[in-house]
Amino acid sequence: MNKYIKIFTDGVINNNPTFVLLLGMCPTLATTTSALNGLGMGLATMFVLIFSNVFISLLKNLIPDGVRIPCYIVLIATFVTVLQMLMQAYVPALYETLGLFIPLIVVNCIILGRAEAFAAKNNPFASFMDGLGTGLGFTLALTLLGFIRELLGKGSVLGHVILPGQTNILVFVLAPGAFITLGLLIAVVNSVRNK
Amino acid sequence: MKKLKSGFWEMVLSLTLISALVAIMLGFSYIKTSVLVSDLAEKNRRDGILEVVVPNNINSSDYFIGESELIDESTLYNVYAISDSSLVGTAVVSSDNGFGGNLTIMFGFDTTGVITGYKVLEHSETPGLGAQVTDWFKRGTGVSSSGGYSYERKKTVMNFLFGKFAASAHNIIGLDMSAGKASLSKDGGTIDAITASTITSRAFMRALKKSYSAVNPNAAVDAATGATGSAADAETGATTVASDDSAQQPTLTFERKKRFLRR
Repeated sequence: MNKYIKIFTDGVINNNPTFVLLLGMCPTLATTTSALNGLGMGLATMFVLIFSNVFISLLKNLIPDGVRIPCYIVLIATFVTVLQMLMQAYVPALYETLGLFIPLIVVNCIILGRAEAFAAKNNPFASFMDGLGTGLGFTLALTLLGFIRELLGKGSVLGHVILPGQTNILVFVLAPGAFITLGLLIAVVNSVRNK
Repeated sequence: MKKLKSGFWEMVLSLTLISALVAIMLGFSYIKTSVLVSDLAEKNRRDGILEVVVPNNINSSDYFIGESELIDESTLYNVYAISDSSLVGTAVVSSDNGFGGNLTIMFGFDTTGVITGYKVLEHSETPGLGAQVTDWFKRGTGVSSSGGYSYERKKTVMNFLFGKFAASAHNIIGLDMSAGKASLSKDGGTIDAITASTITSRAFMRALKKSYSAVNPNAAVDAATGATGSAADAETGATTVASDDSAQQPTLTFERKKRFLRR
């Protein structure tokens, strides 16, 4: 059991996809204009990651090495499409905010990376824990990034305005703010990890 | 089970099986969600139309919406009262080029041409600047359409620094379009543009004028400036505004070009 807990904590902390592996930067930079958007994107990616990891791990003996990439991509694309349909039907507001970035989860390198590096070599439960851990690490990172950008840029927390408008630093909601915030957060995470 | 070898038939078999599995999953989730999605889209469209035409009474059972009509790139939806089948107002969807891409807006007009509301359906304007178009023209002080009123912004240091907090007149709800005075204050009108987003504001005004001319085909629209003067007002004040705009605008650009060339 300890082995599975370690797989989980590795995904969240030691191999955090955003702050340590620096994978999946496109949704990280583009969708974190608010904490809720970051959380939504993180959860959507976690959903796809868990399902693709479990299914690829279950089917790994059925998939010959020669066609493994097309097989993985077809499976991942399916889960993304299913997710897109579910979001469109049940959380239309979030679906509209994330827009194009939902179909782009297919090409998120975290998902194919975990399928190739982990799910194809491990049993379904370990793959599930890996998907859960990595997905949670991604979600936490995106939410934190969105929280900071929203607070500095719009003066609000989860959509509730708490700071007067004069202190808003608009650049944090725009693209450059994403790079600045991410860079500073990675610096903080690295200095904590190196102690 | 041993891992399949990468022989031709093994690969074909594996891909076929996975595609079949995937097709089943996709088909199942499509059946489960498609009805919900199309219901939601229909409801959103209806709610949106009623929201702009009868903003104070969005009780959808009181109204019915006519078939959509296409006039000069604008889509019209007439809203009728169920009680006596009379026309209550019209929702018009028009679009124009904003700063970041297409700006598609649905405007609501009552039967006399007064703006009852608007809703931005699609935009890709800069967050915090042009993106304020979604509610900017509903907020703030109302704009007079009776004429003789022009909002002059005092260019004090405070207003320059905190421009967005200065009182400004940009609420177009209730503006009578038949007076033909709907244009931005920097274009000689009465409506204040969004701070630091003139391009977005001009696109908004162009879409508004397109919408109004689709509802009221009698209104002459000057293509160059988008200034509207309804036919009824042809001899009165509205023409002055329209002709002023059309006469001044080209010379201005010409002057600017000359200055640019001299440099």
